[in-house]
Amino acid sequence: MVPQTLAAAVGVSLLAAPAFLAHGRSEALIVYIAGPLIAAVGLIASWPALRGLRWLNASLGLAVLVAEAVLGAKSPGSLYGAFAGMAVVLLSIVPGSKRHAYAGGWRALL
Amino acid sequence: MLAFAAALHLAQYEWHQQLVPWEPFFGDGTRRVLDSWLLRALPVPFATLSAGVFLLAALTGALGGGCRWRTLPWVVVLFALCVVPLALANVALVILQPTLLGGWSTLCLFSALLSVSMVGPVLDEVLATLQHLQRTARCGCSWWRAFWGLPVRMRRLELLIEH
Repeated sequence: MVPQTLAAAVGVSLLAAPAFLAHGRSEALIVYIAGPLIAAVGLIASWPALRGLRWLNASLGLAVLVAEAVLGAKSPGSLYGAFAGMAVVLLSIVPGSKRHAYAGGWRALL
Repeated sequence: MLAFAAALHLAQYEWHQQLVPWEPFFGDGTRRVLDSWLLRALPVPFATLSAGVFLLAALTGALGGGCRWRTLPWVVVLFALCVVPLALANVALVILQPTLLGGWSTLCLFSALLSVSMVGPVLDEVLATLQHLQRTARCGCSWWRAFWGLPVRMRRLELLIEH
């Protein structure tokens, strides 16, 4: 639960970053799109029954990381974007504690 | 209800009940968002629609008590149908605010936060409901009757007792 909540916080920080750090137009567009998605998915994945959604966040973090690398900008905003993308990937890989089985969870429905 | 109050405040501006919407941080951001071509192009004003759905969500959320996942599954599904699309629309609006609409709105961000934070518990309840309906169907009972909270007959159990 804690890693996913932290990932959501990183998403919010991404969204706010263009107000504090210099961003190019394309870099700002990336964080404006990825930030809310990462924050929303992180918040939802912090519920134990929905922890599988963390893999979606890992993909989003990776997408931010790759996009920043492809753009290759050296602005502080770009560097922060790459750092935040990596942080989201790492936080999403952490499974967290599993206290309940939820009667098989979503897989039981298949 | 907090989200409903925020959406209702914005809806009042959309219906010209007040001149200026409350905005503590982003200047005239809320006004720019609400007056944007995108939100004006919708058949029903966005904040009004949000207020209606938040109210419906509050009503369906209050119905049934803690065991409603098995006593009133239809209420759980209706609640999820209110909350999940609204959360998706709010996340989309958060993305559109800086990219297309050219401003931020504190109350829209607040509504988005509340609607997204409701998705986790709602889907938790939906999972319990779907598992309950699946178990009911596997017992040979009518999942349709169980869905509407009606008493179900355990056909398979009755057949076992008869033989």
